[in-house]
Amino acid sequence: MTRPEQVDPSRTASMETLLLRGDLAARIERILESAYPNEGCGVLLGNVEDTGREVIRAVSSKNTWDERSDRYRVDPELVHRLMRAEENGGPGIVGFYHSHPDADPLPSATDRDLAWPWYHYVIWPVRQGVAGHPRGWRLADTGFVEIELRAI
Amino acid sequence: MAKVTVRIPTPLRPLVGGRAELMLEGDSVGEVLSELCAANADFREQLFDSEGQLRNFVNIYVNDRNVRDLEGEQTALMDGEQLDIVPSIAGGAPAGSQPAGNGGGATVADELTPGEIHRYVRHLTMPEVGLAGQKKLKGASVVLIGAGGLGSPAALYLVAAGVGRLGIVDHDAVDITNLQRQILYGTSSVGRSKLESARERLHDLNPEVEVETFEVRLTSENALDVMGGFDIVVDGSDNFPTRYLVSDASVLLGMPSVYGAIFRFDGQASVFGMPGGPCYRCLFREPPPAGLVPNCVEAGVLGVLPGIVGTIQATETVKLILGTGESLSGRLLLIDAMRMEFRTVSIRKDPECPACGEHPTITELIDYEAFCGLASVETNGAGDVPQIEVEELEAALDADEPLAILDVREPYEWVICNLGHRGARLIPEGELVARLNEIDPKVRLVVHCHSGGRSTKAVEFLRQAGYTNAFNLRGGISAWAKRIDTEMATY
Repeated sequence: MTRPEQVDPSRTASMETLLLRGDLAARIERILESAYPNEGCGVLLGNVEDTGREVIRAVSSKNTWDERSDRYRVDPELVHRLMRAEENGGPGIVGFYHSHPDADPLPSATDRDLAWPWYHYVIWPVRQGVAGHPRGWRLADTGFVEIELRAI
Repeated sequence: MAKVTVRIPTPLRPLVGGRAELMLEGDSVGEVLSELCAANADFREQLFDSEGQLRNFVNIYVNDRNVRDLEGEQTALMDGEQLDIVPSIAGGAPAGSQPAGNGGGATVADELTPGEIHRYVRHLTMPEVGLAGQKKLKGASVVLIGAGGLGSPAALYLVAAGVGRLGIVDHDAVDITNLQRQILYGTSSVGRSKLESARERLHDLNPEVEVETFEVRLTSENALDVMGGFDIVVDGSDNFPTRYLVSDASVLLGMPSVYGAIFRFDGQASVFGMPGGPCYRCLFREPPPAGLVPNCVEAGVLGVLPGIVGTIQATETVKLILGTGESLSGRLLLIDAMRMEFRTVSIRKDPECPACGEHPTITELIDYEAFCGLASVETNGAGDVPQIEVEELEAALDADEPLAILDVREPYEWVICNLGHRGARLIPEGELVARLNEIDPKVRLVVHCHSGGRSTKAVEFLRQAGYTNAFNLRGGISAWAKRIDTEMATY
């Protein structure tokens, strides 16, 4: 098998592909639809393999951003507990999801300002209460790059 | 200076050579973070703003408490403590995308809809709950271990109360013998998966609640994953290995667990894993010897008793979410339904506790079956007490081999189902000593009970008494009903 001479480590499949089972996606969509017209959010847990990251569980979070309705913040207590679970042998946090009510699934300026590197951020558009097709993103040095979201 | 472990979140690990944790020194959170950033400008930029303030999208936890709730960067550190850097994950919709009239003001996700306000009006009028409390309930998540006698009322009341997300872990199907106490199910549910049936019932009760089901047996491998996604765990399990597993996992995850247990007319309840409060191991360091405490199948249980204890567990859970009242943390509630007496005894956090004490030795989940002596009973049973399988017994009976079948259950169990038509006779375990002379030591003897526990002990005793022809029927009459005579009534 031939390989390119040089591979940007940030562009390999493992960084750029997120496998999401249909039943998990459907469950997330139900949750985000019920949060409409507010933003909903949650955590994606799973495995990081050479072939990509695979979500094995999605955990919905309460939105702990107190001041306004067009923002989300995943409950830090939940993130902490899931990190403790990972430390003790549970699956790791591979990314997060949130919804954009009546807007495109493109990262907003706020998303960019507050993003962390490495994690996959999956955004679902929810229009008039109905979830559409999600898109996935990761913060690179130059800003957000789109990742491949693969349904399995 | 105190030596502490600093846990690094995945996105920042590349800045420290890929390591997940570092050992650093410092007497306060601020000192340790300074040391961390001293050698690494990138790290400083991630954690602090240009004025040197900790960024508000970084959370620092010391021993499971957010330092914002302690003394911030001044929070003192002791030798051996753990400092977790937890990224705050936030963002927002593009500007101008929000529907009109929905901007500004109160907390977002947990706003109540008009339908919810109507539904919860009896809560909203209570000063102890009110709108603020009802929003807390909506924002809370609870995971229930076991959808049985305790889990049924707990699930029903938590869902009715409007807890936002309820996880349920169970892997059984509904059996008709469950219906005497497991009020989540009806006669039409018999034979169906408990979780499927529970989900339907709970959705009907309150469609606002997100019910997440886990059709698995809770094990050391999956417990942290399953429980980690919730705020509070309610232990509705019926066995010691699961109780220790739930308690240890809740200590590792830093989450409270609401405990309940029942035996015939007696019940217990408490709250474990609160900051400064005891855990299940502080109360019961070691499990009782395997087989000493009969389970509900063997001992029976008054049907309403789990109704009492399960609703007490739901009450404690709701109080924890509301942050009101005095929880049962540090107290064990003892219920004697025969005398209808409720009393509490004080229980203290044990500094020597192997799970939550000052120097914990349980730092990961262990093999709880082995810890509770179940695995060893199985092996000893196989080694010391000769067993035969139900298929071998059937073959021997069909071939008219000379053998006697001894049933050591109680008469009321015999009435439900028995092997009398295949020649079995009943001598309850407790009468065995007095009625030994009724058993012929020369004939091969197959001893059974419901599922093999009592008959193993009986065979052990018989062999010591010289009945070297005695064998245990592995799995008891329950295995016979499953594998040989599927028409047989079971319990």
